[in-house]
Amino acid sequence: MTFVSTITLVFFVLLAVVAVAIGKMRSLFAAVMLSGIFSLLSASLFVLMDAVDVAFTEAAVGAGISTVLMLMVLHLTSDKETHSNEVKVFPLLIAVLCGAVLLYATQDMPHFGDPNAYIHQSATADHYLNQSYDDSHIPNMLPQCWHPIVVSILWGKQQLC
Amino acid sequence: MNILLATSTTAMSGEGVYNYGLVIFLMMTGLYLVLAKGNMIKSVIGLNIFQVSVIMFYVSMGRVEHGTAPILLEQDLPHHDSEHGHDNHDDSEDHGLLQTRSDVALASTADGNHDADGGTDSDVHPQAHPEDTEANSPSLHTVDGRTAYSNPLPHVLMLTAIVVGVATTALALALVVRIREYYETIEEDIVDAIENRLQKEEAQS
Amino acid sequence: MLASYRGFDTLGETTVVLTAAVAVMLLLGRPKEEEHDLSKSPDPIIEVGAKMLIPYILLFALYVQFHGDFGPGGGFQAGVMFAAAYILHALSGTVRSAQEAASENVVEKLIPLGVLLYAAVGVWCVLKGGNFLEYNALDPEHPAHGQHLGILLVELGVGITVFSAMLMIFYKFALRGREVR
Repeated sequence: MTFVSTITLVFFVLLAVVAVAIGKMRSLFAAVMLSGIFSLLSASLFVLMDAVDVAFTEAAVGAGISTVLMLMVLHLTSDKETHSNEVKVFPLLIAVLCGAVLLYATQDMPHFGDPNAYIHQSATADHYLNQSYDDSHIPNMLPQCWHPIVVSILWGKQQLC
Repeated sequence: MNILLATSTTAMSGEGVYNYGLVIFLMMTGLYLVLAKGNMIKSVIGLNIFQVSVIMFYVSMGRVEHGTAPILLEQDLPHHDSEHGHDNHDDSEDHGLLQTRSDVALASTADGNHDADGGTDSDVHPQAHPEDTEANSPSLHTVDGRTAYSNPLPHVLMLTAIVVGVATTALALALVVRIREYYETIEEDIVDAIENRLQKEEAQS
Repeated sequence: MLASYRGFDTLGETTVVLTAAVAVMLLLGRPKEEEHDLSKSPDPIIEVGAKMLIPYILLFALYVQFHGDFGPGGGFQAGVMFAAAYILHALSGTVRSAQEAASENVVEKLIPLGVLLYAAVGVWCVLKGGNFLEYNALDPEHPAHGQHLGILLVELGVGITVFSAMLMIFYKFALRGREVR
């Protein structure tokens, strides 16, 4: 495994640990802080998966606004979870069953990072990659993906310029 | 049909499906928090976890190994040596792009990699940008002389999802504040008990 | 249906942010009898530290807003960062002092202004002879210029709405009193 994929795996595991810890926390303040850390870790994961715009937005929104709002709600409501922390069986059963079914379904999905995956064969992605600079002269492809009438290759090459 | 073409012509590279497994674990943790936790703030946090894991699912599908972020690198801009040459960018300059793409198409037809719907050129590395094969500074992301980019399509969709998610979270938290002011608590079972009691009193009166 | 109408997506998304802000204003809008201010007396260390940081946050937010073309960034991120600067000002001092910088009335008017700007750009494209949100029509000789102009204005609209929506939500939460426990 390459260095990048090792780091990715480490981050994923950390994320899972933080998620379980949020469930176990009785102090809501600690839970809110952990959710801020969760946002930070997921933003780092997005950077590792080459989604820099998504990472930027997630960091700004999750670790910024969301945490501040939850802290204010904590101030306006209570600070601690008052009920005991026993594991409820039925929801756990639902979650485990649902997870098992999903895991079974994802065995057939394209491998992580596979360049031959079906999603990469789509005409739209092809068009974005190859045409976005010509249409707008903007190197970042994401605002260009907001170009409204990319009458794509599916409809024939209708020229818009 | 296209899936069969993709897997039959080249072996599936990539690093396995471990990322989906971890994402599903996160999803189920978020689901358990929403279902099982009585405290409303924890439910909102669980919803947040669920949403982030769904976004990660899509973004991890868009990743291409040896790819970089979908922002065109310097070496792939068509006229990176003549900056701001606005008048040069007319349609005749696009021939370079189209030519290399048709070259790629010719090369890939030799592999028998035809796509039946609309003639998309699905070569071995469909994410590689076909421009500027004279990569004067080959980076880590150069594959076969072309730069590989990750798929920008999931990123665009997920940006919207994140923003909608924060709007929903803000609204949910406002509702939690109002519930607290009305019921003096934010535990769901106590709220249920109060509601039952109120309904019984209404039914009796 | 066509492969991408992403301009519509973003218009809808901005409308979602506006709707959330309006809904929070409706839920938490009416102040209670005694209005408690969330922040206590200002702590000098936090106040000075925040004063040193806020200009750079605002500058970086401006940078992100207008350089979304060349790197990650754009309207949403910039709007959130603008709001974060004002929120930091409110948290380090009092909410009243932040309201002197951005009063509630002005912010309330700004929320729909961004969406209006976005839709106006779309209508302007129609008036110029193209389709709704077809930026190429803005400058018929140089479609790339039209794209640049269209995307710039549209991102500005998105940034304005997101900034004012986040700030308004913060104000509503911060000025909600709390009865004595």
